[in-house]
Amino acid sequence: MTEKELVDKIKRKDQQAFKVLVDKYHVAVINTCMGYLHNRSDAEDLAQEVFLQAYLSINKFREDASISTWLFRIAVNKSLNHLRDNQKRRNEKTLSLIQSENTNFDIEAGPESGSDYKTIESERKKNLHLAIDSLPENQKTAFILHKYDDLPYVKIAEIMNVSVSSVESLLFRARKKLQKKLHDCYKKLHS
Amino acid sequence: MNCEQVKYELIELLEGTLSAEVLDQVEDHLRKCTNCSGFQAELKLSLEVVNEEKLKSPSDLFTGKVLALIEENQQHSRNFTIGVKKVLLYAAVMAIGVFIGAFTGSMLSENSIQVSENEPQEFYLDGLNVEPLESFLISN
Repeated sequence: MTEKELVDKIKRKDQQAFKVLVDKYHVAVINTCMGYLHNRSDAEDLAQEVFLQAYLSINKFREDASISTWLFRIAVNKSLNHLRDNQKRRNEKTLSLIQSENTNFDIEAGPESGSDYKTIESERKKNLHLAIDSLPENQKTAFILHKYDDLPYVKIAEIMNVSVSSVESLLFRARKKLQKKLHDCYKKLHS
Repeated sequence: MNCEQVKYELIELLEGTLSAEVLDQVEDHLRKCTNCSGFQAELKLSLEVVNEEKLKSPSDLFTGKVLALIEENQQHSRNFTIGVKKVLLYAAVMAIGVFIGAFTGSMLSENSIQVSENEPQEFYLDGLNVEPLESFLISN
């Protein structure tokens, strides 16, 4: 079945055809969401919503790009919206904590010196996630599509609707920024 | 190359994007500097976290969950449509009821006007059925 035939069948609400689409692309969509959310369970939930949206709005698919490009775009947009909503909720919660009379902030304990392997691993993961989260949105998207989905620059450019040289520039800046953040964490740990 | 310059290039070293000349200089420095080689090892392990987090093989249950979500969404849409239709039906029934009531009321009031035109008009000042002041003045 060609991609056009698959899309035409899905537009006619053929669930078997839609199942083929989900089977083919769900790993990529989950990995994209994972890059943003850093949690497998949340990433799978969001990936389900991506496919639900794709099913409901399949008639809006203009076929000027491939179906995979369209799915990646939905995944990126949903992930960014999810992060923005979470950030809004965190800001509101922090504001209400500051405004409340009895504020009791929990200070997260850092790793003890000579920590076991699991603590070091978890700290390393946390530092990487924080470093990725600190990237501007377009650098973050380029990095995630390149590293979590192993997409070539041409495909990333198509998904982000930018030129290939823009993707190269975004990835270069993302790598430098990540390196700096990770080095700062490394210096703190070894100072 | 000094430590600052090397640290700037380390991520490119791991990505394999350094030119041959810069690569030689960086590797030469790393052989002599434990601080930079320590950070290089840490950076490598940090970036490997990405590979560990990626889903590598298809999930057997995922497609079933998506289809169930679609079915749930369609059920909600059907329930919402039925709900809206019920509300519209009640509104239509009420509107028809109000219209019938108003129409019947206007018919009845027309009939009562015709009856009163045939009878002599008698006005009373109060419930005691005292004849109106005007006829009293006229009669006197």
